[in-house]
Amino acid sequence: MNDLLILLPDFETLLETKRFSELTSSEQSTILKFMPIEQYEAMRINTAKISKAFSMEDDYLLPDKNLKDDLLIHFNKKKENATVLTNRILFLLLGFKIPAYQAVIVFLALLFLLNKPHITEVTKILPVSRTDTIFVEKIANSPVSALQNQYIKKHIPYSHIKKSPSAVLNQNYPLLANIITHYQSEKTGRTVESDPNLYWQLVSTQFEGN
Amino acid sequence: MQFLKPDYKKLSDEDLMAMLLKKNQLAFEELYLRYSKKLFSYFYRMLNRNKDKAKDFLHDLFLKIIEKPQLFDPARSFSPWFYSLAFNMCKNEYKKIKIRDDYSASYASSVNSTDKFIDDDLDLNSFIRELYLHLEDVDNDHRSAFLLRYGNNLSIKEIAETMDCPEGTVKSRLYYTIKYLSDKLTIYKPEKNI
Repeated sequence: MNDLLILLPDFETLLETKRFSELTSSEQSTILKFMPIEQYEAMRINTAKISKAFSMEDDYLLPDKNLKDDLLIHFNKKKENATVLTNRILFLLLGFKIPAYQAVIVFLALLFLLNKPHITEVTKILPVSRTDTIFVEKIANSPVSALQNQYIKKHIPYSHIKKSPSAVLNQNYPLLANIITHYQSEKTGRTVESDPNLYWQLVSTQFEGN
Repeated sequence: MQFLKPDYKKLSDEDLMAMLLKKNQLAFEELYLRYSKKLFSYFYRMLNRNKDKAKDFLHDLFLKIIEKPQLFDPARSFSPWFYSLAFNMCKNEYKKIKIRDDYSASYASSVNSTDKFIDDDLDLNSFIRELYLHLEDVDNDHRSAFLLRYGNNLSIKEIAETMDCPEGTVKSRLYYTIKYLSDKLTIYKPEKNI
């Protein structure tokens, strides 16, 4: 850009509105660095004269009246084309014949589609647990189970017996042992129903250990 | 009935363009009324005062907004956009033909046919003849900026938008054109009352 325009960006406005004498002293001194007063005045007057000349010329510069008519013909043609196209599409759609049952099917299908319950997809952010540490679980021999074992052993009758069953029976339950021996010696077996004594003997042996 | 039929004269250019997009003929007529004269004179001056060419260019310019109104960006002002279309049409014309070579021939015929308006002002008549003659020596961009400012009274900002350049460039172009023309036109001594 010209140096004058850097110092006086509105030089053009000054030229249009102010004579040199009407400028401020700083504007005058700036302009005088670039041109004499006569040049400023010549530029100012010629600018005004040019504007006046153009303005006068404008009064005589009129576009042809036919131009507007011609443009309006174009405009209406364009408008008609758009309307004709829309009408054609409508005509084609309306004039298209299909059997009644097809129309009913289409109608029902549309009805079904429109009444279809909307499945709204809900996006829910859920926290995802991620395994970053592995815990190895080990079942240790707990003292509780050991104690339980001891308790069970204590309460199981005859659990301490390590002798043969018949010896134990003879030693601790002699009555029962006698009965068993007695009945084992018999060749034919008896049932509780056939021998009421057997029933009572067995019942009485139940109290033997208590 | 006022709400049914808007007062087109009160509508902005941008509103009219929006209506033109909907094929509103009255909106088009209003835009034509507002801009045809201004742009005719712009074309006339840019195209060596050739009235026929100016008429054709004006016709083509308005045809553009009839055919493709959607080219207008509603975010922009209509006036600079419309002038920029006109400016680009002139630039293309300059590229197409070596207008300067044809100038002498076209000048003689066109000036005689259009200068009746200043028959009563011989000084101004001579002034404008000389003005156009010297304006032809000026670069196209400088001439366009000058004509838009003094022929069409566009603001610096509007010219910058039209010519797609900074305002400083427009100011610079105007300064050099005025200075050049003023140097050439000094034979017409300024009247004291101006």
